[in-house]
Amino acid sequence: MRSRGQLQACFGHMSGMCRVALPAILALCAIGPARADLGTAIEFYNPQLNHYFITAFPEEAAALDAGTPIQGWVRTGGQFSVFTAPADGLSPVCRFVGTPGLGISSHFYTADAGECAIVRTMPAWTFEAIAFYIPTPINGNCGTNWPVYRSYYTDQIADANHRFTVDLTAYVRMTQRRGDIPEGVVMCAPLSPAEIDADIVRLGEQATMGPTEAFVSEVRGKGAAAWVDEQLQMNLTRYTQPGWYEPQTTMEAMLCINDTTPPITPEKFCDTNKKEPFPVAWEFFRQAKTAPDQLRLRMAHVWHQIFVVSLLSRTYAWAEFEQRLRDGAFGSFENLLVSYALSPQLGAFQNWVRNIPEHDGIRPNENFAREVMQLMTIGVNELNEDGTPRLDANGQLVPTYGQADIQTFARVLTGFTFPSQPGKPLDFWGAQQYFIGDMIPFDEFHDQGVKVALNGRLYLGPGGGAMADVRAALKVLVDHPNTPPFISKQLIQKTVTSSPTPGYVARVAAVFKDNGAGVRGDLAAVTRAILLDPEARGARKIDPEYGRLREPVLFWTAMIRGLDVATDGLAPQIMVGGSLQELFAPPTVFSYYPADFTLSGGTVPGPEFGIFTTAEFVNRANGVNNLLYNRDGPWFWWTDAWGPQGFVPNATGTPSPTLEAFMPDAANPDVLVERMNRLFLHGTMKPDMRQTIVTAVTKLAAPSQAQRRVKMAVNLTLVSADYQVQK
Amino acid sequence: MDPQRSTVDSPRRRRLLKAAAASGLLAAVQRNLALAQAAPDYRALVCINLAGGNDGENMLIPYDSVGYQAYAAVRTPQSGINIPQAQLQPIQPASLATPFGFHPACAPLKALFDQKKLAVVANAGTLVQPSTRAGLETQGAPRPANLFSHSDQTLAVHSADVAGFTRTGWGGRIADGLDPANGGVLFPPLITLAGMMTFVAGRTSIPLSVPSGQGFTLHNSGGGNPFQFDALREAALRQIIAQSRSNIYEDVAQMLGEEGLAASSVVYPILQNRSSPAALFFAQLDSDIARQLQTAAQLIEARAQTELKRQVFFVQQGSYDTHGNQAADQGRLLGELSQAIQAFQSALTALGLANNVTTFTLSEFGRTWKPASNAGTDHGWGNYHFVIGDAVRGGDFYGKQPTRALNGPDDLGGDGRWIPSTSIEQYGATLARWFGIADADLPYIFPNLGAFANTNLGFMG
Repeated sequence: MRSRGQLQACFGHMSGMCRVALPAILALCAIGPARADLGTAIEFYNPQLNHYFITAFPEEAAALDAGTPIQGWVRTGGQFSVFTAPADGLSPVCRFVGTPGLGISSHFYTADAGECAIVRTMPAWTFEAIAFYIPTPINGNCGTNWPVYRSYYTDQIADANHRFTVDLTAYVRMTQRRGDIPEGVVMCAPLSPAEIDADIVRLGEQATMGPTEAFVSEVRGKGAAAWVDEQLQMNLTRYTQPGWYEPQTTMEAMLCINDTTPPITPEKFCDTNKKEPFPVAWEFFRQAKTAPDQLRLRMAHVWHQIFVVSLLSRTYAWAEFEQRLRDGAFGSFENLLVSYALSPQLGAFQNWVRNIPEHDGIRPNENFAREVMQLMTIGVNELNEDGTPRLDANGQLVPTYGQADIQTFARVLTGFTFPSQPGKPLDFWGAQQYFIGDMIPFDEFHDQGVKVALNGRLYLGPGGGAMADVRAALKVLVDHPNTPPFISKQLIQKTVTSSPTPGYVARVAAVFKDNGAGVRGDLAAVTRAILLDPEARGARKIDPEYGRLREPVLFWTAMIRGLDVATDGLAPQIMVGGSLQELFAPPTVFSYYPADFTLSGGTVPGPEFGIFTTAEFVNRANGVNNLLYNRDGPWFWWTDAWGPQGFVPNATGTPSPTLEAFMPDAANPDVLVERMNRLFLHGTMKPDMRQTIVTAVTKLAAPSQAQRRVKMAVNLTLVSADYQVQK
Repeated sequence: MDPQRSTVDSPRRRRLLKAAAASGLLAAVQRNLALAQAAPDYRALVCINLAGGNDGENMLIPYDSVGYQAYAAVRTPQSGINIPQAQLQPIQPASLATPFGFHPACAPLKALFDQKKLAVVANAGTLVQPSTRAGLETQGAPRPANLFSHSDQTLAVHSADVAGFTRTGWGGRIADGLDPANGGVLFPPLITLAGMMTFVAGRTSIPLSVPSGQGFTLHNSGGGNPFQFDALREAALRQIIAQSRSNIYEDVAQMLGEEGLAASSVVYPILQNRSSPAALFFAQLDSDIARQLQTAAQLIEARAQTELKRQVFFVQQGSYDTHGNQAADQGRLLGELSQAIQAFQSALTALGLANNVTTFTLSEFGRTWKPASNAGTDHGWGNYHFVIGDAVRGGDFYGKQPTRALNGPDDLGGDGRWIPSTSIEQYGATLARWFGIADADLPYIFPNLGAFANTNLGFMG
């Protein structure tokens, strides 16, 4: 019977490197058939020549790495699997080199037999070898294999070079980076088991609260699409709704005085920590660890940052509000927007609860009227379908709304009040506020006039009812052509990459517009489109402008899941607060960090860097350190979170993980670091980083320092910029 | 052009790394010019955040017989939080008729008060505007959002924004404007020894976060040979962070990390200085607040390394949230605090800087004058705050004391939550002025200052 440790030593399938080094472990592997016929086409780049080169010959790659005899070529990180022997359904790929003195200094590859035959007759090209064997596309389609794109660069004089890549983002950007002409899909790369697993880890980074080895096993069996479809059907995890405590006196109702007589139970909602949002945040982290409906949790966390509410108390209603986002994550965008807009939490946060028509020179509050347009539907400037800004004839940005539009929308947003407290009569101006359930419309407090806005997109006749008017106005925003690209781009940025190509945005926006069955705003379809897009999927992404910095919340949930940390939620809640992402309390309606934050004041989008300060790198390093070692040095009340605390229900603290899954590999640094590479970096660990970590781990004596070795490897991997950036 | 290399322009990275290599002297192109406008002297503000809500009413207690009897009638011996009069450390504030007594654990603070180096600000707290009980209870006067909530009030006290919408702190906003005074020196003027609390977050400035105690970047692992382990891991981490990466996001993350480590490379030798005279004053103390203040003292001592003229430090002690077992818990904390402050002042005096450094406390709220069950107190509002330093006009109370009566005119709710008579803005503006902030620059730091008439409480000389 193979031990769990031994099986997990075979996580994924051994790459060629490990196969050479560890035949004994390979013998234990029963996961996946041996693919002795698969090789890897590795991409190199020469900065002097500005040329790309691929080779599937390991000796040639090693020679280029060594710089002997030829210097100047560095690996790009790009690679794809190829077959190393002929077989049915495979095309041999002819490799040519420019004939010295006659042709250009470049290589040429083709999988097309006819093309190969023709080029063989050209004196300017010398046939070198069959580079590898590979399927070719049928009508541009690769089926379950991965498209290999080719782009062509020429200076029109004497220089030309092709680039072959499976990375669609990199391919699309070759035009702007080198002036390449895109030539389409020319080959279809098979996927090695390691590549399949790597893409699953990436899917976990994009679509869950953090990948685990169990998640990889699960998806390996069914494939990404099937997993996504299953997840879209699940709605299982609910926040605990605390009970309602009836204040006993007027003063108590006003002050919500704490009842701290033990035992402190959930029913005493005015208990100290029931006024804070902390209990819901603790539950968030506990559920992130174990909930089966990971995609819904992940997307609700995204929606929380778009449909923002930031109140620091009223916990009894906070869980209900967050549950709206979970419940609506895969429904219609319009329903989610309405659910958000009618929440009393939002009503109070954005000051439109008890908004009434103009009186005594006081106009209705414009806060939500402005923000719902600026941040949640159409944005400030007109957009093309691909998310790029539309420019007018003079090359200027075109605003989507003006002050008059805001004022008109503010007039629409009138006449709603808090739901009544249980057992109390409903009263528009009632002294007591209640935050559970939708706000209640009162037509007599609603602006009954004609409302025209957004160049007539909004037209509401006189005498409209409050609810009908509000719903109609929100629908106008949903139907606005800006909304699909504006929302789609943000969703991509919060799951896959901070800088999506216009093509990616356009493809997703198209699904937002119409899910294929004529429905607009189908968030299940949109979510699916984002995750299954070829710019999201793939074993490794090498475009320099791809990926996103892990925000503190997801940095911590990924560690909790990936390291199998038992937590009652307190420590991660405190840690993310120290990283400027205090969960459920974004500083303003602009969320934890601005959606349009760019790197170094430039033009590359990097929203999460808005809260990544010079100290944050060290802050995260210390956080990982604390998690792994539960530092028992200086004690701050708010960082003393690692042990069980009395004010946390069912407190268990967050003790250091045992890391038992990795302990069997402690004796062999190479294997241990490769485990880190597989689970945390989906196979992309750079050789220099690998060497540094292996060297450091080796310096600790085995077996006495076995656990320290494992912690060292985990620590260095998780703290690296390579891990901080999810790509 | 290499399409694979990211093209992040990082002049800051080049500057800081080059500077760190040049023996810690940070050089900027315009520095010589800017130095001409730099402040002539050195000043520092040190903020001690008493996290959790310190019970000021047990830290300073009326000592005259009438006052003490009123105290004991509410905070009875049976309640478990009573401090016997015989244990108090009496002081006579210059402008008051009756004496007060410090908590017994605060003997060092009494000494400083007697030397006129400690001033007491009475009944300070968060306010939207000057407020009365009638106004708040029956006339719908605006009040700070979510009173009595730790997170909201901590945010309000640190951000000086009672609406709860600002996530920068007034310490950070002070730091935002310190560039001219510091002659354009790149080293961050605001150092926190207690993490990234709101107080230190600036709009344009970035605070330096320094863990107190030995070592800099990485916390101890504990057990075995932690220092060797730390050195090994830190060396590996620095090696990895310096490896070049072509992904633009990785590159920027590394750059920010390297900047943080570069600043720390200036700080680390300072903290490791075993022959630091300032450190000697803390030799007998081992509390966390003492370690933080020791670190601050060492950094002030070594200010020549950073060339800063204006610095702000943030330290924190807690938890003061004494819902139960207050006598023991608060007693211990006040003892640690008082001894740490005493050591800090002695160190500054030895450095000749006691006139140049002013220390002040913050706390998110006071506590209910009326005891709660379990020998504790609940969240209150107005509180005592303390200012220490040779430049302080000490030996006196400032601001207006509350009428200490349950259901009295200053009590919101009947349990003795005092409606503050002084706002955080007024308190902070007084400190900021001494620090050298011009009146015209105060609204940036305290946006709501205009709601209060007296913006200089007078406790600074």
